[in-house]
Amino acid sequence: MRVTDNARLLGVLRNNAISTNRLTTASRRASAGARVSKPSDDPVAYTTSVRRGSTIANMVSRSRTARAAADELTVAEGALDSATELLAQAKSLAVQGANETLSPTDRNALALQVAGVRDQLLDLVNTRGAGGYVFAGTRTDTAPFDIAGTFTGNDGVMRVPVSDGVAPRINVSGAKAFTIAGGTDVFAELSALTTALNTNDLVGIRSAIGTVQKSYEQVVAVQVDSGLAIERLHSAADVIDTASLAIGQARARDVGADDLAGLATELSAASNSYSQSLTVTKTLLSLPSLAKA
Amino acid sequence: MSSLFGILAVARDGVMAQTAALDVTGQNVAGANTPGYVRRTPVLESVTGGGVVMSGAVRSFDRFTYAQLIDQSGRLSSATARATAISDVEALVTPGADHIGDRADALFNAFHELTVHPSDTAVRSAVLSSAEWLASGFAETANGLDAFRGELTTRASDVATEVNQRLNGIATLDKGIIESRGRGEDASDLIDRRDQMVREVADRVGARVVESPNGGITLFGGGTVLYEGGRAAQLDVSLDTNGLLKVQANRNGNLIDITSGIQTGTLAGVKQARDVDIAGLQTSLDAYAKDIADTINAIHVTGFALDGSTGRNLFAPSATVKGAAHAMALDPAMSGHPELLGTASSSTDLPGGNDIAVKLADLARNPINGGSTASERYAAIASGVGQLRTTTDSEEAMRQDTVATATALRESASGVSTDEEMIHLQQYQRAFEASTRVLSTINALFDSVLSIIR
Repeated sequence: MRVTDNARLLGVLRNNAISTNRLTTASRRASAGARVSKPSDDPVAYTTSVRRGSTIANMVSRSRTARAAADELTVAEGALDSATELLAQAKSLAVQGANETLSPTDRNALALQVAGVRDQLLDLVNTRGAGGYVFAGTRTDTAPFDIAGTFTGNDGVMRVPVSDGVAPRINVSGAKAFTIAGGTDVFAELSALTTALNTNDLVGIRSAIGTVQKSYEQVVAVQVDSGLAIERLHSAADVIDTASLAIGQARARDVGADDLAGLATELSAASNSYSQSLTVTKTLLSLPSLAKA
Repeated sequence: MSSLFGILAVARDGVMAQTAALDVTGQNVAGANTPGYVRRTPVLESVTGGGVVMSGAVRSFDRFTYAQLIDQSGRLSSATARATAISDVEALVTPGADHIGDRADALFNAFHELTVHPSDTAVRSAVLSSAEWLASGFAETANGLDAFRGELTTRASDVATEVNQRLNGIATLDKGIIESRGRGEDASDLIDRRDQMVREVADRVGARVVESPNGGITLFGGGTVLYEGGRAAQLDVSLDTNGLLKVQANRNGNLIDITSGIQTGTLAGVKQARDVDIAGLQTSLDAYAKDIADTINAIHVTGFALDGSTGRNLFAPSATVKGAAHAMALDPAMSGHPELLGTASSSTDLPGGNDIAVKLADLARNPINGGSTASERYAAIASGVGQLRTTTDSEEAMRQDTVATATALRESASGVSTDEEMIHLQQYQRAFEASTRVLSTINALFDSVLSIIR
């Protein structure tokens, strides 16, 4: 075949364009730190990486909300813990009041202390967390107990999904802990104890020992539940974090971000072939010509 | 019997013939880089009485390699136009970060946050701005695709104008060629220029040439006759009722729809990218936008807002799939009103009820209308764009190879080699010098004869 000057130069131009292109791609990949950074790099790997990326984003969000919910529950659990202490105190006051040797004045003093415990408890049950009143069910914007100890909240349940099909409760039932919904109306029982102490009603005081004990157990039961829920949320968040780390590694592998040495090798191979192509070009351009003679 | 005068005439013929051949060599050297220039070879012939004459110059033209080249370069132009358009599309639809899939994830994450803090105004506002961000992602992408299609429409019109100019040029040149040939003149320059214009037409709309015995051509393109017998058709690009490109050829006042006949050339690539590739992408994007908005609305409409009201859409609903991505926006009633987000399934559960927020957050993992999760739907669109780009890029690379081969063949048949021409230069120069030597020798002989007479 007859090879003209132009045919030779066109070939040189084309080879240069190809090696420049290869060098550009390799340097883009090396600087991005991944083999795949746009769909056309590898449509299948890109799709997988988008899916995994979305899963990771979802998991990170789930883990964060699980921990936030656990924080809210911790506030409620702390309040329940203080409530059990107060009820234990009320019970010991009742036991003291049942002592037959006490004078009515002593009992009046005890009654005052019980009333104080009841006031403190009233403060506790109207505790607020980041999301409003923690014992109000879903009516989180209003204080669930009024001054008379009447419950104005509800037993609405809030749940958050932490993994497929698992959505633990993230609020504490104030109704079950402190109202008749749990079996004993705690504030009514404390009021009854105060009245019995004030009226020297020994029978009343003795029966109050039992009901205050029941109130104590009722609050403890709810506290245990919330403690378990906190545990569950924390461990779910831990599991999610571990899993999302693994998915993150898989994603890095999909897009070739785990093989930086490979990317660097590709870049140096591309730059070698570019230099070679330049050398060939120089040689071809400096070939002797009859026209130069 | 030879005479001194006879030899003198032969030497004169030699000088003239070699000068003419040198002229051809000069033309070849000058035309080496002229697009469409075909190398000439001087034809030297003996004349009765022993002289020489250059009877003409032959164009080293090979019809087969020329036809190959215009066919392949038409296909390359088509592939290049399509690949260029698609590479822009990839950057628009699948940016490195904050693409539609990311924005959908961000909205679901905001719903997630809402499940823990359903009555928190800051969290509710974050949901609204995430929803707005997703909607604007769809609208911006749809607008971008529209802008690309608009640019491609302009490009198609420009290409038609370029073709029309060349068709008129071909008509003028073709008539000139027929006339020159009729007068027995050399029309090589005109033919070079006409063939180059044919190639330029082929690059734009594809072309095929049939030559007549008188030297004129008939040019076919887009399934019709673009030029014949001195009359050039004119192309006209417009949009049909569906907004698709419509290409018509105006032949002597008759409009012929040649849209489906345009298979190669830039116009074919532009048409494919605009009305098949990007149009298809717009349809998927619209369906995706409508499905995601409808799915979220269907859940949100059952939720109760903080003020106890219910029945609101989060996104302004779109009645049709077509244009859904364009029109995607927050429902006007919701805009600026985070308290109106419906998070609880019953007014008695307000403000802490979160079961609707939970359902919305679960959409991150549940299929939306039309099947697949929101993220998978985005991934499918992105993968489609990626496949398209890969296909168009490799088609372009393949066509570059075939055009390189066709160009090499054409160069081999018709191109100018400087070295060859330098050798020819030497060859004709030597012959010229020899002829002048003969002249000076004869001159000396005349002097000798004349001195005898003196």
